Amino acid sequence: MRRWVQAVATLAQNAYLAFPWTGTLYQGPLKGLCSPGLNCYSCPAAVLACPIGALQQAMGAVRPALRWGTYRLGFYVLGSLLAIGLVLGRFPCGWLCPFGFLQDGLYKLRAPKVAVPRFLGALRYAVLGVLVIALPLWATKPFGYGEAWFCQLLCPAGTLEAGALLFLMPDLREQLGGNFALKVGILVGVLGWAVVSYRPFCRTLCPLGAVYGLLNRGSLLSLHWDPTRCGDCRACVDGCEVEVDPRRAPGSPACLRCFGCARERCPSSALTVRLGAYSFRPSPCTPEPPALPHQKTGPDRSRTRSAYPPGGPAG
Amino acid sequence: MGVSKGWLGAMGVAGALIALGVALGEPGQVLMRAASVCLACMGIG
Repeated sequence: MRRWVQAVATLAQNAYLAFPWTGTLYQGPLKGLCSPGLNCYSCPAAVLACPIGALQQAMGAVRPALRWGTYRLGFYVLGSLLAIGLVLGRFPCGWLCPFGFLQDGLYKLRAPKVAVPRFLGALRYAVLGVLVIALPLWATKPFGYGEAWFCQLLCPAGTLEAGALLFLMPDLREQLGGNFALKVGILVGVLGWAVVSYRPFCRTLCPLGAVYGLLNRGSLLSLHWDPTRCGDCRACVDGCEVEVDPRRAPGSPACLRCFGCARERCPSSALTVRLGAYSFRPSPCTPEPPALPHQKTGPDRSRTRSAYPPGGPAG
Repeated sequence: MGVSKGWLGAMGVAGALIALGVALGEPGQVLMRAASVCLACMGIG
């Protein structure tokens, strides 16, 4: 089901399919709204604004706004990011982000698989702090505005999606230079890495994932682990593509909220998805097994390990 | 309820930020920039 949601979300965020005929970007009112995922607003088909692009533009305009007394300090973009993160956490990463969807597809290709070193996860906070906030704020042009450093130096989604404009507007090709070569190199590197590692960009470099990840622990949509139902089979841990232990850290900033552990792997319904007070186990789900004797008095690891046959409960 | 006071407070802050941004005309700025070609996104510049 997740693949279908990702496909629909990608299409919905890039629904302006008339661009080959009009030769322009979508310029309607929806561009004033932030998309939930990393989707370049210079993609000819994009109908929403990229929240990271909009945040950089807002940070870059802070100093002129203070100087001229307009006080447009990025409240709208910050509030939008906070609201999305507080409700959904990293759910947009797992289910709605077009660039995440692309990486998911690449990971399905047959190739040796390599784990992403855990320490690289801290890089995304550095990208957020330095390229998205600090440099646009302080490294300003002579007339006062800051540049979108993340877009300019790193963002592979922008290279891929905005790069489509080079076909629509051939005049732009004359301006390509070393920076474009750098960005194409980064794009190729990220896509190649995504063939051998699961979601490397999301886990190490994405500043949007960093923002949502910080809100994962307290978001309305959350993952809940019930120790009294857990059979300690470790299926959730062993199957997690981003190497999170959902029993110990269900609110981990690294969790992409794919909910694969709750949807497909947990045989005992110990992991459930919650939306506020409402708790549910999304489909497809394994039928709930009958209650085990230990579940009346609490978990007993030595007994629960043998309570299920290998591969989970029958029926 | 299932929703903590902390979460409600944070959501209130988010709502206030959005309302303030709308009052200052920030969505128009976002629209204006998002609707124009971003050379930086392509790696030009």
